[in-house]
Amino acid sequence: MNKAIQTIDLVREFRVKAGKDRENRVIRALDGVNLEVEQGELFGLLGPNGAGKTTLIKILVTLLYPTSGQAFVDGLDVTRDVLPIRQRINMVSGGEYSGYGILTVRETLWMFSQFYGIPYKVAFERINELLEVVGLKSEANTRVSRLSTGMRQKMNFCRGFVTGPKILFLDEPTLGLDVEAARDIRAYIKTWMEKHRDRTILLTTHYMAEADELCDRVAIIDHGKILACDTPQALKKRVSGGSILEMSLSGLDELSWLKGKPGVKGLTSSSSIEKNRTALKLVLESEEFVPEVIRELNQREIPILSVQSVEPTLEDVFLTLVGRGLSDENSTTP
Amino acid sequence: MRIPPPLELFIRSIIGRAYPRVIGANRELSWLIPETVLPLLGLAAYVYVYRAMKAPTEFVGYVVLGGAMTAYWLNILWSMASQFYWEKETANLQLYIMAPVSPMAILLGMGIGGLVASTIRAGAVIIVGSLLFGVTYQVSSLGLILLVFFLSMVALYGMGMLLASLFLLSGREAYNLSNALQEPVYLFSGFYFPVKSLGFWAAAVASIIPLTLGLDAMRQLMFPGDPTLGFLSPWVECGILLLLCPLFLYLAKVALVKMERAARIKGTLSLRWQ
Amino acid sequence: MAVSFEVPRRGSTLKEIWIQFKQASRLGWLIESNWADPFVFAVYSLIRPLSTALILVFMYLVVVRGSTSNPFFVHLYIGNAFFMYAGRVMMGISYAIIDDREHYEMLKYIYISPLKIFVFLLGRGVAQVITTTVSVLVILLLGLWPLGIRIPWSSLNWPLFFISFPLGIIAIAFMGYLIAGLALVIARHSWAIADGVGAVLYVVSGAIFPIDILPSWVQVISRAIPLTYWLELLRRSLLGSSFSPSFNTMPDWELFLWLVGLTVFFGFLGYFVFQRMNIVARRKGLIDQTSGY
Repeated sequence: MNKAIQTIDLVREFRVKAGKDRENRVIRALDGVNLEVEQGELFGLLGPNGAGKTTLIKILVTLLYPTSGQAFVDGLDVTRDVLPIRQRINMVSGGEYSGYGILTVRETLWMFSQFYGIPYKVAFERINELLEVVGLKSEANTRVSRLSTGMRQKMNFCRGFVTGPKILFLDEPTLGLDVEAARDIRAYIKTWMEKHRDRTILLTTHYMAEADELCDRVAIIDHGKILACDTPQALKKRVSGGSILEMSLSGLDELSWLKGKPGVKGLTSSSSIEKNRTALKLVLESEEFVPEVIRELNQREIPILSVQSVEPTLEDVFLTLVGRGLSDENSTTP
Repeated sequence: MRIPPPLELFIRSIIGRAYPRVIGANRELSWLIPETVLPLLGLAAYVYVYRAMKAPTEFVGYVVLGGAMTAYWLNILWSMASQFYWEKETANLQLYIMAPVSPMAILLGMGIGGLVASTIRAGAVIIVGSLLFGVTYQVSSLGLILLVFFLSMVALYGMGMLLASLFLLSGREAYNLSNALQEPVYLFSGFYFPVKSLGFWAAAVASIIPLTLGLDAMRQLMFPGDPTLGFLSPWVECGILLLLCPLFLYLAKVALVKMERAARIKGTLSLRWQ
Repeated sequence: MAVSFEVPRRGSTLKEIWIQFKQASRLGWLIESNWADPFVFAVYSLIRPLSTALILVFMYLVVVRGSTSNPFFVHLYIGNAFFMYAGRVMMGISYAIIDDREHYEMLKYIYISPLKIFVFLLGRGVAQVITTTVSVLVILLLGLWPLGIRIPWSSLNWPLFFISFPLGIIAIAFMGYLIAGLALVIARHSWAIADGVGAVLYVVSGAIFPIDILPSWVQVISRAIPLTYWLELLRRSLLGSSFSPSFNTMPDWELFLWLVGLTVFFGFLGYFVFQRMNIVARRKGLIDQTSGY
């Protein structure tokens, strides 16, 4: 059986105009990506903003040519077999809307279903089911221009499923949604995959909990490179040999100096000005290095309010692999 | 997963994309007022200029007909040629390109929907303008008028489909390009005066815009007062329009392929790319 | 050197208003001029106005088949050229509301800044006067050569021109405030109102034909707007004669008085309507509305 998705040494570069007097820059958004996704898998691509997730999806859904390398969807080449791929797929991009303000929610979904040749009866049955599931049924006859941002995103989410795709690409589907709406959407993704075991979803996200909760396997991507690819459990196991500490420190100290200390594999910190505290998360090679870190902090006269050892999460996997957190500012530059 | 026959998919897509335009025209009837009143005011100024010059009465008819036809040209510029640009801004374009149907079906849907909506506006302008300024029509061959109108619209919307890709390929803001083509085409297509007065060669070059010949032929067939004002005979103009129809549709298809290819290379089909 | 975070003051003294006016004009210039892009400049300042002027030229030639030095044509041509100020300055002021609210979504920030909204809009108008002057000069040059319009240079009435011209621009700006006020409270069709008023004025002001040709009830409106008198005064100062026979007997000073009176009237009307709509818009929460299309 064909792989649902396969990429071989996939590279994509963008030429970016840098302004009047400066030379154009070339940004390498994907840097030799090798990936295999099996049929029926819910596969997650976890990485910070600017890691290359959207670029990879755009190539797979035939909206972008790769600069070099190969990519296959359901065994079909994305550069050559465009039409057969398009018959098998759909995509939802979080934060992007679709349709026209003048149409109602139901009409919008019907319109998009027509571009996939779905018969009216089937289309409306699916639309009713989807709207029910995401809690939009009462808004079915509301004009899109009158929907709230969250409602509009839910409608966009339904658009991806209404065509019954064999392989579905969800690019940050819960981006910007409130907690409840995001939970509804995650629940529907799970249900849909349980109901349709032959379908595949490639989900990109920078919410580690989302990837952890939903995905059979996860690839961690940063700066256009796949850093690791495995089940969430196996990935977390990789860091379980070490020690993860969550510390609360008094004051607003700059802590990047800890990065170079022996045994420190990665750290993230965030400060609360109101509480005059800094939360520090450290990934250490082993527990042996805990006293060393505490001594260093004491030497610098940084009061430690609390210390606790925690179970690893996918965030810690990322921290271990990259040395910084998923939401760190410097992770946004490609 | 059912894969529909290509023709069924093509037709469904046309209907799907025409729907918001036809519905839009009926759902927001309040648009009809400004979109009828504005062209009427524009043509009223020109009617009074002709009257002040004591021009023959058929010139008032020329202006009313030309003023009504602006509805189609405005629709071509702002809702066909600029449409891919707007669709890109609202993230619809990538969804259209990604769908398993030729983008020609999407463009045809836009065109047919736009044609219906514009016909309502043009009809309103013709009726109100004719009543307001007392235009009398001397229709000699209704069949030929309808044929000219049909061919003009096919060629014109074919041109609009071509411009949709060209506007996107140009990389410029669509509203600037549409503004660049609005008044100049009113001038060169002779919306408010017989195009023949531009001189033979200028009128011949302007004939590449289907409304030039369509308008000239319809004027000759509706206001036969002064036969010397016609550019070419209506039958010849009909023949040229017949050639322009497949030409623009073919060029639109070629431009679409080029646009999609260029956009997939440069990554310009969507706003987000990383 | 320490960075100053002095609290800005909402301008109330003349000096502060003058500073704000200069800033608003500069801002308006940056937004409206587009000089940096020759294509965009050509579209709005050359291609569109030249096309409109040439439509009138061909309309005239196809009917009269005579010389373009005919007084009727010269009056029509000059009227059309100067009417551009009405279209563009008025639109510049009223579109600033629509654009900044719907497109740039900046209107709410202008409102909460110390910049007076009245002064901000005036800045956009000033920028339009400058760019329109370029268009008008190009149209006039096209008229002189190659169209061969004859202007009686020796008998030009410069004093009349130089006192009438700025007064008319002020009157146009006041009318712009009037429409801007309406645009504040109308969402969907605000652009149509702005365009529609321009189109109505093009007909009733007799920009391209004598107002005597209009139905008598429309002529009443013609005589109630400053533009009609302004265009008549400009024609008299440049060409030495009237376009409209009904103005033939009216002396220059009387025309001028009408222009002054109507400018003052529209000044009050524009100010009153704008301030009133301003209150309505804030009461109804319309300052940051977008129509969603």
